[in-house]
Amino acid sequence: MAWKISLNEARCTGCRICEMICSWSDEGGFDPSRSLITVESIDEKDAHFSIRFDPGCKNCGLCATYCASKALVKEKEQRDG
Amino acid sequence: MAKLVKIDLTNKKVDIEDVSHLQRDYLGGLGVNTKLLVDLTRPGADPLGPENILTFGAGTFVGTLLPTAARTELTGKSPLSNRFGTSNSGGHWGAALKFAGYSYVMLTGKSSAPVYITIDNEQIKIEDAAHLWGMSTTDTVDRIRREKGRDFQVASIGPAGEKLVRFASVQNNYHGSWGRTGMGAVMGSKNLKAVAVRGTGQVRVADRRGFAGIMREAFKKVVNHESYGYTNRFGSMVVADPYNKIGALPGHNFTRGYFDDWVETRGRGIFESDYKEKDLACFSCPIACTHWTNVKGGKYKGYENKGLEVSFTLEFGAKLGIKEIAEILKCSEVCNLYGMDVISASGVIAFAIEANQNGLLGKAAPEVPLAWGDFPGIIRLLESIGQRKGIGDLLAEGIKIASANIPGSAKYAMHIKGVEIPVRDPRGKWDVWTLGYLTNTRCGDHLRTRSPADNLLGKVRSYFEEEISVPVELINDLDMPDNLKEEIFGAPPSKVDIPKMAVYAEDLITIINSTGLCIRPPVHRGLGPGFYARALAAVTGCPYTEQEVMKAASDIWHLQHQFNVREGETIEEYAFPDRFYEEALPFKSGSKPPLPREIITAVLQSYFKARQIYGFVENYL
Ligand code: SF4
Ligand code: SF4
Ligand code: SF4
Repeated sequence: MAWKISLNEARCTGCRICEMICSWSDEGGFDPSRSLITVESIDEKDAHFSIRFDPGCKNCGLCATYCASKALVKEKEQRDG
Repeated sequence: MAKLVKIDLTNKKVDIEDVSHLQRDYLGGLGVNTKLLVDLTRPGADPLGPENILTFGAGTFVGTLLPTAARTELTGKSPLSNRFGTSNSGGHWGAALKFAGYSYVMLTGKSSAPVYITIDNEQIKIEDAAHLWGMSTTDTVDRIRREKGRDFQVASIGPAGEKLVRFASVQNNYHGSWGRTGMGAVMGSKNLKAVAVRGTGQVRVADRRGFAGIMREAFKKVVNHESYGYTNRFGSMVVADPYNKIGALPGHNFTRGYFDDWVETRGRGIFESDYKEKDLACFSCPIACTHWTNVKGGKYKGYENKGLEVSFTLEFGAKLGIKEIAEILKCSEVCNLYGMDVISASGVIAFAIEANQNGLLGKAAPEVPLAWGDFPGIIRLLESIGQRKGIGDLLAEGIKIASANIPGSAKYAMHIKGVEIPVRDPRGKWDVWTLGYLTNTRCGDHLRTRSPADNLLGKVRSYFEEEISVPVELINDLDMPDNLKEEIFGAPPSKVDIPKMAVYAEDLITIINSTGLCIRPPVHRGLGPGFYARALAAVTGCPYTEQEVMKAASDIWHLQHQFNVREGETIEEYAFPDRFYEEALPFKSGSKPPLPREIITAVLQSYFKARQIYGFVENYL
């Protein structure tokens, strides 16, 4: 199933859970630096963040399911394909 | 595989060792750090000499996606207490270490000139730090990131660590802190300014299928726990109002437990409405109990900082009497920049103010304020301590040594075994938490003996048992060995056996600090030894039972206790300052009575019995 994911960067806590779950491989590896979503600090104090999706994102919605702060929210179903 | 990076700073040598066997037996993080310290330091070693060893241990779950799996323990012999020293911090440092491929970093010896360490995936270097020495911790972070990359996570000391302030902290990037017991001074004594880490590799769990279920279960339990909402909303500030209500604040160096204007000036409501901007989280944490403050009005409008933690409020707000939240945050900022533990810094200043009010400092110490709440005076004194200037040089030794040098000041010296007493007065509320001030192995501290069934509002003071205030279903739901549940709560649950709960609480927190989760309520109350056994098995591939996890935790506690006894600890040291035994604590129009010495001793005896350490007690009682 593919989802549209809405962003609210002001709510982002910087937890990187989205990167972790996106990067979880079939072999059981976590590798956030290879995730299809990237969260970066936009100030030197690590208090505010930007969120970027890689063009390869499959819109699976897993990152939004795990995002507790609602910085990522699954909006509405898109048609598959 | 769990890898230990061994760095010999004297000979500038780096070795990597597989310590999977130690991690198997001692769970990881705190447990492995403990074993290394006990085995590798000589009895009587100078905590500020090259023989002390300092170990960063990222918890076993760090680098995987379990809720709050972010925490790293930093352990060595404490220069404040001369006993077991350790502190814990979250943020992103431990995860970076794991993604670089390592779990532990052990520092031995002493460099002849200032250095810092970079761990950039497999590349480990000891580099010249002449240009960093003398810098604040935030300047150090900025400079290292400018030179090496924005994505380095930096553990650094500030001027206080360099100058061997005995309660110096190691800062974790800008705002995090390995605060208690002076690990920053140990780092400074080794001429080590910082350990900067970047990791871009992979962390693998042994049993993917098993782990998937455990991950879902843990997120559900933590996010749906009844404490989740208020922990996210207020963070640790949630207890600010109840502490005042029950008269347990450490006000004015433990002379008042209650302030009429507390809730309006320093309560959680005003923090939320007038200061808090947003939530922030450590790596892998859905709770986000920390906050960003951006002052919304008044004199300090626009001032920004991370916080407010309740420890800042209880220390600078109650113990030192500062009423304005922005000023409380500025005090914590000075501590962060210099790299000093907030609790000990505030404690030693409270001691100095009271000694000054009682005429014990004379003209020798014009920089010590006379009045509680003197914000500019307190900031100046914090800076003097961080620079070891004037009387700051003596106060930098901690309360125990400072008071030994100021005749007549012992009654104002609020420490246990050399470590300044934090945040709550045991006369205001006697329970597992306050018994823990005496029994926990890092001395006068409040974070290592906390009951997962806390009862803040219990009315009657009772020394051996306390009433249950949480719903019985919550106790039935606690993930806890059945036999202990029955022994501690009774069947059906009807009370809390304080000494026995103290033992269980210490063991549970040992497990949390070894696996690298966080002790905030949703985890502390929501997950237990049964969960940890299954999660350890899925992550490491080694089988664990609930009993084995409990046994390992108890072994770790005993190693720490034996270390302390080896370093000279006696049963007489298990005592509060005289103030708590001799003076009543004013509360509203009345007062709370002092603690009866003989009853506290009897509670301790029950605790030692539950701990099964008879020799120690017989030898000294
Ligand atoms: S987007 Fe959500 S999950 Fe990702 S870092 Fe921000 S708060 Fe965490
Ligand atoms: S929607 Fe799926 S693929 Fe895209 S970033 Fe989120 S988890 Fe990754
Ligand atoms: S609960 Fe708070 S302190 Fe603990 S890991 Fe999460 S954000 Fe960090």
